[in-house]
Amino acid sequence: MSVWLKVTLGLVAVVIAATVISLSVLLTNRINALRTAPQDSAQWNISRLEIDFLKLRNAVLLADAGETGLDEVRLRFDIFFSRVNILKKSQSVKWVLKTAAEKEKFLQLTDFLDRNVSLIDSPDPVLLARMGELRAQVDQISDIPTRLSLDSIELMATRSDAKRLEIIRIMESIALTLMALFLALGIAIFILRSQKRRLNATTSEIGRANTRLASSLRASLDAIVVVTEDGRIIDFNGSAEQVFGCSRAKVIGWNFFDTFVPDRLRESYRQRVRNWRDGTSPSRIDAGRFQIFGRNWQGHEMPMEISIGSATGEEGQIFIAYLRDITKDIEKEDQLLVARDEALSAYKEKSRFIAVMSHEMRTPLNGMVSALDLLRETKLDDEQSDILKAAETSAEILIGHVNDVLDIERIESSVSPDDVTPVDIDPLLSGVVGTLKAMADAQETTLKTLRDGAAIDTVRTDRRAIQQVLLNLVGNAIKFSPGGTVTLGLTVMETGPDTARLDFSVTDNGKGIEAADIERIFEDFVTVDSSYERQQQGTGLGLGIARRLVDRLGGTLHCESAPNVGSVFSFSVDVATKDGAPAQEAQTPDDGAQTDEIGQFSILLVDDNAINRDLLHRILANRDQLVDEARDGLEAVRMASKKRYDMILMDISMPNLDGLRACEMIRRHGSLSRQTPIYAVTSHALSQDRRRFQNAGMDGTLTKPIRSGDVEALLRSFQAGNRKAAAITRAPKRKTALQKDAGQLPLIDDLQIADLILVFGDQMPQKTEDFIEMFSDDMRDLSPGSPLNEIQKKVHEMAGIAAAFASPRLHAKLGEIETACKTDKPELARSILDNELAAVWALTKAALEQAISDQAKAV
Amino acid sequence: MSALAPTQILCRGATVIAMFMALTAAAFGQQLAQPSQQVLLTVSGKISVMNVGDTAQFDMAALQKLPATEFETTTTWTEGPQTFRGVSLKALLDYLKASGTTLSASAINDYSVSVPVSDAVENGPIIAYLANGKPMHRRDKGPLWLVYPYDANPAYKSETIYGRSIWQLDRIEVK
Repeated sequence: MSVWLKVTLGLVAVVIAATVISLSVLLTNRINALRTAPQDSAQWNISRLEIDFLKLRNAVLLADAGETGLDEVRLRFDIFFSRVNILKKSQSVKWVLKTAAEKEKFLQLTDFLDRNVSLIDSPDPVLLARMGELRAQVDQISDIPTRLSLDSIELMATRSDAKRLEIIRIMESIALTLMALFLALGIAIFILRSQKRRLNATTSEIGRANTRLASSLRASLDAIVVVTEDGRIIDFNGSAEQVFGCSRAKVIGWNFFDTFVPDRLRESYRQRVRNWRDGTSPSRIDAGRFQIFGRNWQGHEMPMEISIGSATGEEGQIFIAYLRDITKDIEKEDQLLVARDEALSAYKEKSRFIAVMSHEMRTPLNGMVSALDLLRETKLDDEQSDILKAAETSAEILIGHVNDVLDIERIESSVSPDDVTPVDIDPLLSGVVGTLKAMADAQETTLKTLRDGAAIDTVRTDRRAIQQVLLNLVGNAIKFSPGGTVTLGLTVMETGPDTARLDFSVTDNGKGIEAADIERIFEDFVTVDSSYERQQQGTGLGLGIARRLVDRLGGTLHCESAPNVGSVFSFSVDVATKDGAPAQEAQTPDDGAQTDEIGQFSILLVDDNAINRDLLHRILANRDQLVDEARDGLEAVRMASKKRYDMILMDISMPNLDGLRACEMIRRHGSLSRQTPIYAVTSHALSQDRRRFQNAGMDGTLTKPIRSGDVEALLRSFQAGNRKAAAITRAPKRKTALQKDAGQLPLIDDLQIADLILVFGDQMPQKTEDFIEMFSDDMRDLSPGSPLNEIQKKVHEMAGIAAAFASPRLHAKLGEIETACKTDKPELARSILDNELAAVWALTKAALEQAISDQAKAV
Repeated sequence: MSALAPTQILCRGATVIAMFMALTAAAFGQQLAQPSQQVLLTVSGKISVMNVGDTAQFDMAALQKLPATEFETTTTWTEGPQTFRGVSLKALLDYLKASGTTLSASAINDYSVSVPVSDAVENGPIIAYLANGKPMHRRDKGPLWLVYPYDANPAYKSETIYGRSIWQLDRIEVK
């Protein structure tokens, strides 16, 4: 409502109120005046005055004529006297005697009465004697009562008119006031009604809003807690009751921090809120969700997600907190992580299993192929020859499959390109084409190469990886394009002074691949065309291997294809172009697709330690090697003299004859193996040690603890004809490890354990048990009281075993004792032996048992 | 006696009742004495106590023998408060065992007015014979005046009551 309207209404109300009040005062006075009659009828008294006078006059006239008694005169005189007295005293008739003339007339009346009172009271004879005189006086005033009566009538009429007028005026003002009042009431009712309508509308709107708010609060899945600035809880919804486990009624008025924050966090949370308020740290109010720890009414702690809004309420600033118990979410997350880890480890286990299986299969397969070769030498009829051909084909396919699987395992177990060397581009391409020419010819497929881009001849990359990818892709293309054309394309782009990008593409016009299948073809064991698969008997691993290799080279393998038009496989590799020495390709006769295949060698393995021997034997056997074992130097010399081994792996510290002496003897005497490369297998990794080995005639060193990867690398290097370079060592790393405080080393080497598991497979628990049993025996035998040189010898032996069984700390501790012995510090040696070794062994034993049982569970 | 008119039977009945009533009054020692002075008030009509014929006539002594009532009040016909003493109308009618509903009161000056018997109540009108301790002269509304306690009861300040306030009263007929 506008201001002027309010003011107007106010004024109207005031005016009406004033009118009503003055009117009611007036009316009250009038009513009071009317309620009691202040006078009797003056008119009547005055008219009676005339009658009483006339009766007196009549009595006087009759008495004068002797016709009536004197008492009648006296009575009439008294009555008239009384009447005049009344008029004289009465308030009510005073107004009649207003004019001087009337007062004069009235005075004449009273004079008459006063003059004659004594006469009237006189004895009868006196009164009778003066009756004439009395009569004369009566006659004299005879017109006065009439005159007064008439005057009074006139006055009464005037007065009556005045009264009537006054009443009319009062009535009129009442009517006017009533009308005004009626009007004002009407307006007031109208205004009130419209106000009420508006109020009703507003009230119901507020009601609806409240209902909406309340129901949305109730329905909210989040707990909602409303607190004042100091944390006092002023509202608490149904979800909050559930989340915090207490009723709204119970918790209202409690402090949120004291009630729902764990003791250990209360102060820090309070501080956080203070920091938000004074701006020390960015406020999280109205700034999305974040995580806190809360606790429920029963004191159980729970991780919660919270978002906070603020508003100004009756209580000053209030905060509305939306909370959610995320215990389950976090549990689920953890479960997912565990599940993922389990899946990953299961996957790894599976591929390890396949890899081990494949290794195990390859030896007998090789045996079969050899046997088939031998069979081919014998005399066969045509049918037998055909059957043999089928067997040979099958064996070849089977070996191909096994090799595919091994490739996958090998690629996955290494992280980065392992062999970056200078590579000449053109020979690489022609090598691939050359290798597959026969296959292409057989299918009547035309094979082309297309070289484009920068004229760079040599780059640094992993030659074998690229070669294998290209062999797989081109081989695949040939398979799927009988009678078609396959083009191997390469575009070289300089991307910097020292870098370039190689864009490879393999294009065919074969049957192509459905769009839906393109993603799938890079997965393992996928063959798109099942009928073709039967025909070609692929494992479906070729593209999977190619994809892995390209990934490892830092590129991505792409495929575009249209059914019945053809396919394009392409990938790019970033390479370095400097370090421009031409590649020294160690070309071996079987270089090419089968370049990764390790040949079979006869190897003499010399170690006095059964575990080491067992381990190394197994690693070699897994790689198809033919292994003989010697338990000490003497035995080794004996065996080496009788057979020409391809390679001898020689432990250094051995009873009877140590490795160095044995090496010297093999080289010196007329042994069949005197030209055979001999590699030291030792934990003696210091450079002076290695010089010593070299002087004794050894070709290289294999450092303990033995890793299957190291052995494989040694074999490959050896196979590549690189006799001296095959000295595989991780010497610098091991040296550092040795110099470290033994206490800082891990109890067990997880990587090595994984390696052992890979090597021993399901025999691992048994092997571990054997190790523990043997080592425990050794610990018992090791007496601090023994002579120093015995201790040294025994400790060295045990160190070798510890190293072999993935126990770096134990190995280092034993090494410390050995060093103390060597440097002639018997007290130190005995002290470590006495005080520390047993504890380290106990810990190592426990850790090993734990690792094996974890492994068992994971499997 | 065989052909008596109903009127005659009534008259006889009334006589018998009147006689019985008179006897009763005498038996209770309420015999109104014969007036020995000038008669101031004569009551006639439906009353049971009589002394002169079938009327009850009172001189000043007889009136003053009845229970007296006194009050002070102003009147519209006098100046200043007046003290009136007299016999209350109720006491008079009770004394006379009056049974009517209306009194017809008349004055010496032949003024006459009807007063309902219901006016005869405690603290009601009195037949005053003294004003301010003195008998009232005929020249000043005396000797008897029917006065209501106007100041004590506002209802008495009405023209009707003023009209019933008869002065120079000398006769009452109970109807």
